[in-house]
Amino acid sequence: MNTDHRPVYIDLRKIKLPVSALISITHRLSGIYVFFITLPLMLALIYFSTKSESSFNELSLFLRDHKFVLGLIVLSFSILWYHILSGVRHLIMDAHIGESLQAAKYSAIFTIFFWIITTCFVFWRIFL
Amino acid sequence: MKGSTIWYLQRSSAIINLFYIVYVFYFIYSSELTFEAWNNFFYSSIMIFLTLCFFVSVIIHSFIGLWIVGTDYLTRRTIGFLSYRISKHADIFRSIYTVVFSLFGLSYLVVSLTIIFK
Repeated sequence: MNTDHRPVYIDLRKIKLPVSALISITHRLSGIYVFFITLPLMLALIYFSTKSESSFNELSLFLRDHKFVLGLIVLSFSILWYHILSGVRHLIMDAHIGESLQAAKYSAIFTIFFWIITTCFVFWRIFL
Repeated sequence: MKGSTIWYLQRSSAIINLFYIVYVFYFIYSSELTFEAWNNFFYSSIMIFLTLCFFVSVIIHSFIGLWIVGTDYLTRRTIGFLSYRISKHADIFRSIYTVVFSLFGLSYLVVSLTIIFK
C-alpha cells in the first residue's frame, strides 16, 4: 500500500488538461467506442450488404428511411476517423517527429480542428 | 511477451488496419456502389485474404489497447481515487473486464469468419 499520506488532488472538474493530454485520453476513449460500437456496426453492415441482392437493397432503403440509424453509423465512423487521425499523430511522434512541447501542442490542435472540419463536411454532404 | 514486442505489434497492426480501411473506403467512395460491384469486390480472393488479415490485426490491436487501458485505470491506485472500499476489488474488476472484451473480440472473429467463408 502507499505509505505516502500527502493528499492527492484529483478533482477531475478542476484539473486543466493540456491539449496533448486531451488528445491522448480521447484517443483511448475513442478506441473503446470503436471496439464496442463501430466494429459490430461494421460487421452488421458487411453482413447485410453481402448476404444477397435483396438484403443489400433492403439495407439501403432502411438507411434512407431511418435517418437516425444512418446518423448513428456516420457518427460511429467519424469516431473511428478521430481514432485514426490521433493514432497517426502518435505514430508520427513514435518516429521522433514533432516531439517538442510546441510541436506536440500545435499538432494536437491541428488534429482536432481537422477532425471537426472533415466530420462537419461529411455530415453536411450526407444529410443536407 | 516482451514489452517492446507488444509495442511493435500494436504499431504494426495499427498500420495494417489503416491501409485496409483507407483501401475499402476508397473503393466505396470511388465506385457506384451496387450490390454486384460490392459483392465482386468483397469476395475477390485478394480481398478475402486482406479482410482476414484485417480482422486478425484488429483483434491484436484492440486486445493490446484495451488491456493497456485496463491495467492503467482499473487498478487499486486509480479506483482508490474514487473509493477506498471499492478499490480493494480492483483486480477482480480488471479480470472481469479482460474476460468481457476478450469474449467480444472472439465473437467478432467468429462473425467475420462466417461472413468471409459463407
